[in-house]
Amino acid sequence: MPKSVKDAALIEPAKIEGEEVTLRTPKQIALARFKRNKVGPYSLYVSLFFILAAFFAPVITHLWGLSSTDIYTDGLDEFALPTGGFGGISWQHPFGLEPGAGRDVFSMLLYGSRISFTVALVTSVASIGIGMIVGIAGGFFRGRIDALIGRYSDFLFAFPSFFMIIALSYPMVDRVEKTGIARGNNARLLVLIIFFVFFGWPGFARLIRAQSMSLRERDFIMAAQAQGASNWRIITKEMLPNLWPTAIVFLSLSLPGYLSAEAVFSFLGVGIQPPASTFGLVLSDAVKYWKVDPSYLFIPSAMLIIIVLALNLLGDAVRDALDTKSE
Amino acid sequence: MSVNKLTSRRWVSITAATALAVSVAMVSGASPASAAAAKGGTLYFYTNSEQFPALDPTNMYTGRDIGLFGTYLFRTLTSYKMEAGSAGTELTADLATNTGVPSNKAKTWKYTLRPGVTWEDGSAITCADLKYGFSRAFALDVFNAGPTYAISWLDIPTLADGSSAYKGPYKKTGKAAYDKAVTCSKDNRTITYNLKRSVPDFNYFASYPTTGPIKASADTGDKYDLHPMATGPYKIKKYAINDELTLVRNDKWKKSSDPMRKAYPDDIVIKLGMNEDVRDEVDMTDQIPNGINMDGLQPLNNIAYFNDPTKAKQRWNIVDPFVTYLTANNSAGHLDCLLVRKAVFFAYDNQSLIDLSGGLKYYGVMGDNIVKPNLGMDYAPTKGNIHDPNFKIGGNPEYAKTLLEQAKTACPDAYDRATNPAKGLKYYRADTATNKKSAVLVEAALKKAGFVIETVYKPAGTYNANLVEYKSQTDFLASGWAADWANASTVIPEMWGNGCCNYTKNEKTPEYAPFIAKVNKALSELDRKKQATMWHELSQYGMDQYWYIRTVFGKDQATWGSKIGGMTEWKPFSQAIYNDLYIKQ
Amino acid sequence: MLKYISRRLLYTVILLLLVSLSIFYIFDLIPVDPARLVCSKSCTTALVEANRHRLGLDVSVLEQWWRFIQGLFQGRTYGEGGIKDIYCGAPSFGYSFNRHACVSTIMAEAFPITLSLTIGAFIMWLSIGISLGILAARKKGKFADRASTAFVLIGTSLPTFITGIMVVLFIVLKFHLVNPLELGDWQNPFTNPLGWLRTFFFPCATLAIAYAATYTRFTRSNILEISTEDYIRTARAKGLSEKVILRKHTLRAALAPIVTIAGLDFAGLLGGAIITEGIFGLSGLGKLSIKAVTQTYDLPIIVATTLVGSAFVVIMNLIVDVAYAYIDPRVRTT
Repeated sequence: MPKSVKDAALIEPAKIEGEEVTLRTPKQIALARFKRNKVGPYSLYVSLFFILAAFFAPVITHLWGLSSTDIYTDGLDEFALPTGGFGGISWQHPFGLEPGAGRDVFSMLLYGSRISFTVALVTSVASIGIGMIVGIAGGFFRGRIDALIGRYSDFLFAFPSFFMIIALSYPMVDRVEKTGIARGNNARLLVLIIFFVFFGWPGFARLIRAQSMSLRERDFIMAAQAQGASNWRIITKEMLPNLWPTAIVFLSLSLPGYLSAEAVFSFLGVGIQPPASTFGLVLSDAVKYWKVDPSYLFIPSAMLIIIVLALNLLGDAVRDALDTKSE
Repeated sequence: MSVNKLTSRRWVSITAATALAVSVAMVSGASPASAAAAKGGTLYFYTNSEQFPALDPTNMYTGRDIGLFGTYLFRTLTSYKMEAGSAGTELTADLATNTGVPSNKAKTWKYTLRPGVTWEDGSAITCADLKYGFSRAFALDVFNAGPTYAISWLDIPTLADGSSAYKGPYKKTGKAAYDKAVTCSKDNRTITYNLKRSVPDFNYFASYPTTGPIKASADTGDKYDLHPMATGPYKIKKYAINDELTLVRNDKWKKSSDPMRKAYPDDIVIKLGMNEDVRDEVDMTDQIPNGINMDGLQPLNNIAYFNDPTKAKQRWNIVDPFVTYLTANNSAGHLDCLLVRKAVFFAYDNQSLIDLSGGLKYYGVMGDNIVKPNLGMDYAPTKGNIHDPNFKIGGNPEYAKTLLEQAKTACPDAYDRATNPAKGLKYYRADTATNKKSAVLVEAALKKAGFVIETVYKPAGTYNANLVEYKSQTDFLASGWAADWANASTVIPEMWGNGCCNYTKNEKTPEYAPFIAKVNKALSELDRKKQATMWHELSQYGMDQYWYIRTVFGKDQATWGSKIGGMTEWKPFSQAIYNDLYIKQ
Repeated sequence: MLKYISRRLLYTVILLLLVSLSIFYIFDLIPVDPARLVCSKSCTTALVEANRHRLGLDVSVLEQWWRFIQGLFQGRTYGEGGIKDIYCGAPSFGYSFNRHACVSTIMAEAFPITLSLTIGAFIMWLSIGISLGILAARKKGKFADRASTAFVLIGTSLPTFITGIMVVLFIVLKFHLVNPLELGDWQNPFTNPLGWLRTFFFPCATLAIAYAATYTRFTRSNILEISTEDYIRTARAKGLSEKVILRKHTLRAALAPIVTIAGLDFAGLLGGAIITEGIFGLSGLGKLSIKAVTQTYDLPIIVATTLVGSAFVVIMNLIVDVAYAYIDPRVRTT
């Protein structure tokens, strides 16, 4: 059970010195530091490039004269392997053809990363949303709410989530389809996201809870309370701005985590199914062809490595930039 | 392709077709057992499967296991001759002194035990053991995987719900009826089976381990599967699921009582649960020279291996006994319209599907019948389907469209289901890597002809067990079948009639009643030639209905290490003649 | 302290009971009928019901759960109405009709394999992860920092199903390091340490590659953070050498929080490393559970492995918490 999603959750929260008095706002300081970082901006560009490419997949493939559903069996030989070197790479098919079914690998990867990113982004954002609310509720109000939330997240932690997702995904997809909300791959996408969020938020909530607990004791919050500010105001105006950086770091680190998680679940046959494609589906298929068509394995692997690397480095850079202490 | 060949081999409980009137096998370079064959050494097998479907003889029903364990572990009353070519499809006496004496129009069968045959503990095999072994198949609540011919043939009354009055040796019910149907002589050496109807093929059934002896005092119930008592030249030393099965020599087995078995290797080790990629790499680099791959290679590695000239003597490519097929759900609300079923057939891009699984050379050819040509006299080419002038192997979407256009007025309901984006056809298939690829091709080809189709993936491991349930939910199913012995009576009634495995839901179609009437007539026909002609007519009839959309006559490949000697095809099982295998010194 | 521990212990037991109860309810919801799965082709309703009785599924979920809990302590008899009753002694986790053995026996065979894998991988990823982390922190911003970060990240960004198979094909089989027949064979580490190493080195390395990144980055950032703390500055001011400061002060403080992650990762892995075990042919808990879910739908095994997996996590949580309470007395009151 490698590379669990919790990697991201366990990164130490950035510490913001709220009371620091400077001429620049903390935001400006962080931005300046981020720019000074050698790796940060590049990893941001690379990440953005891939996310945008995924987002505009239909446009790009259309401009290239390709379609992700078309089958180019003409480019395959009698054993359904691509003719021509390097997995059938040509101007028309820049990443070659998929052995077996003859789809264009370039558009498969574009559309595939679209689904993979959707899973990762929606899951991360939803986990952050729930985690934020629950974490603040627990950390700020303490008492019974906190105890209840703590017990509940203990319960979820104790659940063998990885295993549960595998065991329950088929029947869950059945159920979703019966309700008529979504069908086929949409239903599978929905179920995967729901599972990821369900088991993913407690990690972030714990992080936020710990931070809000320590924030609560800080002078500036106490001051606000002494002035008679409402809880709502304290949370939205005083606490949230100090919690966002944690969320940003969490986001950039959990994205690659969920990308990898999707890949592992696809390998195990859970989640999105062909004819759609995702990173996981392409990779788990490509690994079977390592001997006869190595470029079919190499290209998606390289792409995944670059994306994960860029997102991780981006996360590190953001954290470094926000962390005033480590100078 | 409708079903992954490896999967179908593993999951469909099918046994062997016999009698190859036409020799279609192309054994490439397999050297026949030569004088060099020598005793000694360890023979290895390796497989991705983690356990055998059954080691308990009562539950054993896959062709490979019957061949393998029938050679090494279990002796049966009769056995296929362990010889190459069509001689291998003939029966010979094994535990019995002859292949059986039928009387009373083949309603009574009598066998006498060979002298000196023993169990692995040294005790003699008796008629009581045979009788007890045969009775276990009736305990359907305990044994669910074996053949059920015993239940439908023995002269025991049937209850209202269609089950037998006898419930097996673990319950008291119906014991008297069984004791009347199966009797032992006074010396406990001769057994007599009394049947309900004439069964001229009973001697073939007597080669199935499920008919073999079981010692009542050694029957450990559910756990018997882990260590069944041997009667053959080897016995089980260790069976650890997911790890290995080790067979060692059975020192109580006597050559004098078993002239057929050669028993060359000292030990036989079957390595279980080997990763598929590792297994293929082992084959390609000959890392287990005295080992045999039990599964076959994955399609791609298969091509690489078969293109390698240095491996010429370590492989074969043969026509296996299986027909794989795509079943239509012929019931109302699904594909109860011949025009729509035909449109699906003509829209299919068979070329790409065949290429995907190894090409014509390794995967097989399009079939025109559910009876495979190697079944001999029961096969005849049909008219229509792949011989239709409109059939194109790469798909003919234009013709499919015209058929659909006709269906629009002829059967609007089925047309609507097939083309309405809000409904659409459903294709339940097992969740395997190859199926995922072929789904892409199938969906693309059908969409070209105007169909709306969705693939629904079901867990591979329970796919076949659930076919009965799936058949009324989906529009298509994929499966495979091989005859139990050389008679289409083990195919046509089972597939399209009231046999075990009819998934076509054709019972309520108007075409079914005349069909089943004719099937019953054919089953009771004693003139074998007349019967064959009837089977020809019946397969033509079914194919014309497109109850099965398409059929494929499959091929099978085997690969083995450089030190394995004696690999020759055993026709009934399309497996090795295990008896001839030896380790080259 | 004793009071704290007993309170936590009680809580853990309740948690485990709740988890087990929900597992029973969840698997009851799955629309697969085990009684039908084991039914023969000529299946009748009566037969399905007989199977249901034999499998012990003809009572309410609560009753099934209660019998299971009782079986854990007293042992239990299975297969009523079958050939012979089958008895599994305490602790009984059920009986697998598919594998013809008591689940506790099956798991007892699989556990040493998973334990070996986990311990080996744990040692490897801790040593690789922490040493690279220290290196990166000390050479912050320099080539060594970037190189070690990139190395662990590349290792972690490829799924194990790729790295694992590459290790087997391009290293193990290519250089004939392990006989494929012995791949995944269980070897007793005490009587045959070399054999054990041969079986477990490569799968452990595969897992370590996947896990090391977290530890490298965690160590690096913690060291960097702590080195700015006042007491480290003081130590520096006292004139202590960097090496001594690192060893005596920084590391101790920086590595303490790692205990939490390490404990949880360790416990999580004890539940079984599904993909790695599959590739290397190790018959551990992971392979056992995944096959039971996706291939055979072997309910007793699914329930047992799931439960044992969560028990590991819960118990490890308890250990970590108690360890923390021992270190930091403030925790006990919260």
